[in-house]
Amino acid sequence: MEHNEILEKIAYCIEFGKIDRNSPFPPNMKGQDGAGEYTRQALEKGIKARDVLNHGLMQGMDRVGRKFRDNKIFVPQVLMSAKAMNSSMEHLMPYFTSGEIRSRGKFIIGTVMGDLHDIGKNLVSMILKGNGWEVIDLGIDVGSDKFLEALEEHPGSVVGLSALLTTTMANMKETVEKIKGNNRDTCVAIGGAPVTQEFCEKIGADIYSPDPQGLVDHLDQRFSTG
Amino acid sequence: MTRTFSYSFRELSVTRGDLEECIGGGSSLEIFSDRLEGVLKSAQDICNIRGGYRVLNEIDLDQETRLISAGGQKFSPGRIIFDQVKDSDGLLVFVCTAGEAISNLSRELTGNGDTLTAYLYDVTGSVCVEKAMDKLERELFEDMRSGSVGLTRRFSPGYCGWDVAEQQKLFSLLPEGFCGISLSASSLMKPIKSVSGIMGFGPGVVRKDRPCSICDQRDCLYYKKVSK
Ligand code: B12
Repeated sequence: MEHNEILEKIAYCIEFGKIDRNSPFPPNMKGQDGAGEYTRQALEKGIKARDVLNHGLMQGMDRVGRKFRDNKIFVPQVLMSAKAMNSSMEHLMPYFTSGEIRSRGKFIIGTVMGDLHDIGKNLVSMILKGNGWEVIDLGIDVGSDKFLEALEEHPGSVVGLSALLTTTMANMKETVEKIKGNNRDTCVAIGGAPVTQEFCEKIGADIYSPDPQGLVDHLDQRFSTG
Repeated sequence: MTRTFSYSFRELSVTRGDLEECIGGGSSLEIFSDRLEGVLKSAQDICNIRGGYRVLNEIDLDQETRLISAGGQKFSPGRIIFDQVKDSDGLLVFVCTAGEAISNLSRELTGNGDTLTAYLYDVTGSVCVEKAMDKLERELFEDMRSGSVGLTRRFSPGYCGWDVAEQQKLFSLLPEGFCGISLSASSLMKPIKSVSGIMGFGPGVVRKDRPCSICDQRDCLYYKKVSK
């Protein structure tokens, strides 16, 4: 198999949620190799880990993010794709550890204080990981102080806040104020069903997006290495 | 007067189609059908669907301020909902839940890495509580109709422009921990798969269409159903 062909196989398996040979999903790829096997084969063939990441894994997740944004696929498909991505990522982990490949940056994410919803936040995490970000997930019901502590531990990270009710969305204001008060250059993204661009501007957050792909696109613009 | 009710999962006849509708995606979800069926089969033992309501017979509807006074509380549900309930003589304040177990299971499965099944249980919980309320609403409607009393649709704080924080007033009219449901300071109900709201009733009440055509919340659960 040509290098390009195997990278496309990885992207394809991630796009359609084919984790590995044993996985029954999707039914029409039953018994075939998945993202895990193809990633291992690619590395064995001497394809650079960076190329596997950029042209295989990230390429696949980029397609997933766009199709999800355009309502061509739905949460279950994204979840399977994220699993396929993880199985590919496992083979790449040693290269992250050795420094041969690096993440695009760190992204701290959490559902704000008083709110227990996590599906939306988890989807954002998955799609960011698939776009090369290292995600630090603080979970649900996260107070401002916890975000500040995480920022202290991981300076320079972008922060993402999620909320599903208008009442808990109001808690984003305080968190953004504290984060900006600590370091006004920290980039803060917000999202969740009741959040709007208008609210984002009002509370001084930097990025709002109704969907994860929009966030990725914003981050690409802001942090492009050119 | 307060009443409680409970339904078995089977009674609600939740179908794969109901779950697919909530997820979106229609036929593209065909590949998950085995998993959906499996979840539906076991949900019977996991959902604990119960709810209750209080009937308030002495209410006041101020047509000018659009405030509804009931049980010592003043609700401000906004123009859309007020117009739907304005002919009522009484108010029914309800809560309903699918129970905690389904969300706990979903969280546990997420922790074990089975995110797909976790999500399908989560959706089942949502569908379940909505279908339970559909059933209660239908039963009450029929009951009242036989006594020539009309019943409005149900309306929930957080929908149609009604502030979600008004759940605080709603819960103050119910006994503490009613049906195992509690409300946090940030107006989040626990168990997560719970709903709260009101219905109006009275001889002059005519059940109207859902007010979606005059509301701008396009990603709302109810709008999606109406626009089909
Ligand atoms: C299913 C549902 C329910 C179910 C289950 C809820 C649950 N928590 O599990 C049930 C029927 C139980 C329910 C109940 C209620 N609900 Co409800 N519900 C929904 C619905 C239809 C879908 C929510 C969902 O699961 N979405 C799927 C996930 C994946 O989407 P998401 O979390 O929004 O995340 C996506 C984006 O927002 C974004 N995103 C999320 N986080 C972040 C972060 C960043 C940084 C970025 C960039 C992006 C981003 O990316 C994600 C992927 O695309 C929404 C309407 C809607 N279409 O969103 C209403 C909605 C959330 N509910 C609402 C309300 C009001 C309620 C109730 C208060 C009503 C009531 N009085 O009973 C209760 C509250 C329940 C409680 N426990 O307190 C309102 C909330 C807004 C508000 N007014 O506060 C909504 C928005 C509906 C509306 N009015 O338009 N609900």
